[in-house]
Amino acid sequence: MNKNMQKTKKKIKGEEIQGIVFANIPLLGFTIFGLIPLLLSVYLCFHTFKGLRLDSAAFIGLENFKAILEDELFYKALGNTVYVLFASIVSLVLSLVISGLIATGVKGAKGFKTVYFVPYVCSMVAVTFMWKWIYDYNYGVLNSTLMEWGWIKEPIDWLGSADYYRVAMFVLLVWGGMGYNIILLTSALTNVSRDLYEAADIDGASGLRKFFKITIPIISPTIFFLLVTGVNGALQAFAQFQVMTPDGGPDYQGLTVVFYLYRKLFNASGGSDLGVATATGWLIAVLIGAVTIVNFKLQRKWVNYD
Amino acid sequence: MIKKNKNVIIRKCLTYVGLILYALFVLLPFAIMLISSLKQKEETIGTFTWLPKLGVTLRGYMNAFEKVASSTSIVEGFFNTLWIIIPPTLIGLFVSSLSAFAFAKMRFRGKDIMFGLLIATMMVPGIVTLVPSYVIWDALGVTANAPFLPLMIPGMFGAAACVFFMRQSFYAIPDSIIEAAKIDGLGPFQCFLRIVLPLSKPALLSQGILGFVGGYNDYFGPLIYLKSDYQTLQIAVSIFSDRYSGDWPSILAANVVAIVPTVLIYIFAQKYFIEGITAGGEKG
Repeated sequence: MNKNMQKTKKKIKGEEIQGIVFANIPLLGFTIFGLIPLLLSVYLCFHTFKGLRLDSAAFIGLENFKAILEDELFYKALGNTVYVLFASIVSLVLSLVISGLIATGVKGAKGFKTVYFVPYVCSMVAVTFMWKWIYDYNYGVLNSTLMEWGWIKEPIDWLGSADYYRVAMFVLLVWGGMGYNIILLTSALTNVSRDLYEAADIDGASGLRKFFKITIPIISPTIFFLLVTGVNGALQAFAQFQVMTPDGGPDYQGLTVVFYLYRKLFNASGGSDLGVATATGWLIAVLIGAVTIVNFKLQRKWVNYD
Repeated sequence: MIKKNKNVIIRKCLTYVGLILYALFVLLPFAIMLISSLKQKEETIGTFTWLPKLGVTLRGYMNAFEKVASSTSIVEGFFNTLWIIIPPTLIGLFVSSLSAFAFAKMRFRGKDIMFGLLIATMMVPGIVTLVPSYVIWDALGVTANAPFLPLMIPGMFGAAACVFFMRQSFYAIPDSIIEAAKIDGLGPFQCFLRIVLPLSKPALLSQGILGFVGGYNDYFGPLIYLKSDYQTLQIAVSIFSDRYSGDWPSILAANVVAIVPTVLIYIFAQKYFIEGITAGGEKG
């Protein structure tokens, strides 16, 4: 009996070790590929280097941060990124409208949703080249059509002029960003009980009133989730801009903060600046952190978890 | 009463008009891309027409499938992508599931703290570790000799978000099944392999598909680590488009080729795709 109990005890102990090992492989991965680089990044951002060589390190304190914060281009990139942020919020609002329309019980709702989600599935590189063709100054469909309709007399340089670049990228961002929102919002909306609407109907509430007083509060956790992830994605926008205008666009309007970092890491005109690139990464992280904290603080005012 | 009915009908019509207009906005760019990719080059110079007047040609696609000496061709890029993406997707999924199994079904001390730590790792923005990671791989000589490894190895250790998702789906498996397997003498790993995994095919499929498509479309990672003689499809397409600058049918053909695989996956595995997406959202 005693022997048996010992055996069981041993078995439980063995299982416990196995459990700890199984559970923590991802955490081990993070330690190697996340934590070590994270610690190194603290070192990097206070040093200056010659090229990519670590042994050329020289301590310079906060100079890297100072260099960035005194760089006009960084503020330009910051402004451009805020613009992407704005596009992500507009696409969330528009997604809410489309999802609201789908939820009124239209026929073929599944078909609509299937179509709306397609851009999310597609490679951002390919989608960007697609829009580049649409916006093409000489032969693009947009200028062709607008001129044929007589809306414009001269072709518009959508991607080459500072007046139109933002408009062009805005459309691309909204076009690409709505699918994901709509899938999550419509999924949340199917969970809204019909009874609530019927009760509101009896009270004679209008459609819009029902939308703001019933629908929005019920799906507010989903809206909040989309806001947080959308903002996070917007602050790290890169591929569309780098593919569309590898040189940063007219008047650097295509330079986002991540693009700025990329240019510091692989500086075309002369080596890399590891210290500044790392410090830029930290500034972006602080930005993401700050916006996320603001979001979480504000959520108490409008997100409903009942 | 009649007036009210009329209002309802008008509103219904406007709803459909809105939804159809938006659907056109989503699809028209694709149509324009597809049509233009099939045109003669001469026809893309001049006013845009919806129908190819000079006839349809596959010249652009032939260019896209051509081998090139100086850099990665589209076809090579496609296979490079598969080689770089599939191992970490499968191994990472397995490792994440094993971890999720331990968190959901095994007993050990410190479980809650460990899970909390794992979830906390998701808050570390990748943008901070990007540069130091590159520096480390570079110092180890990896970026010079095997630059695809940094894109493969980290993913093989699983991902916190995937652990979270799989744990959720393992909770739905009753403990009694696992207890019964234990009595039959199965150890925890056998139990995971033979009972839990086969029962979780849909969840595995949707995580696997999402991981694959995400990796397939990744641009930033390959852009940073890979050189032009060994590239993934996304970069190969981008290089191709630069080389064929001005030859829009060829550029668009290459980009159609890049899009087709994921769109096919989406069409045939839509259910798993959407499930993975919505499950990811509902945790929020």
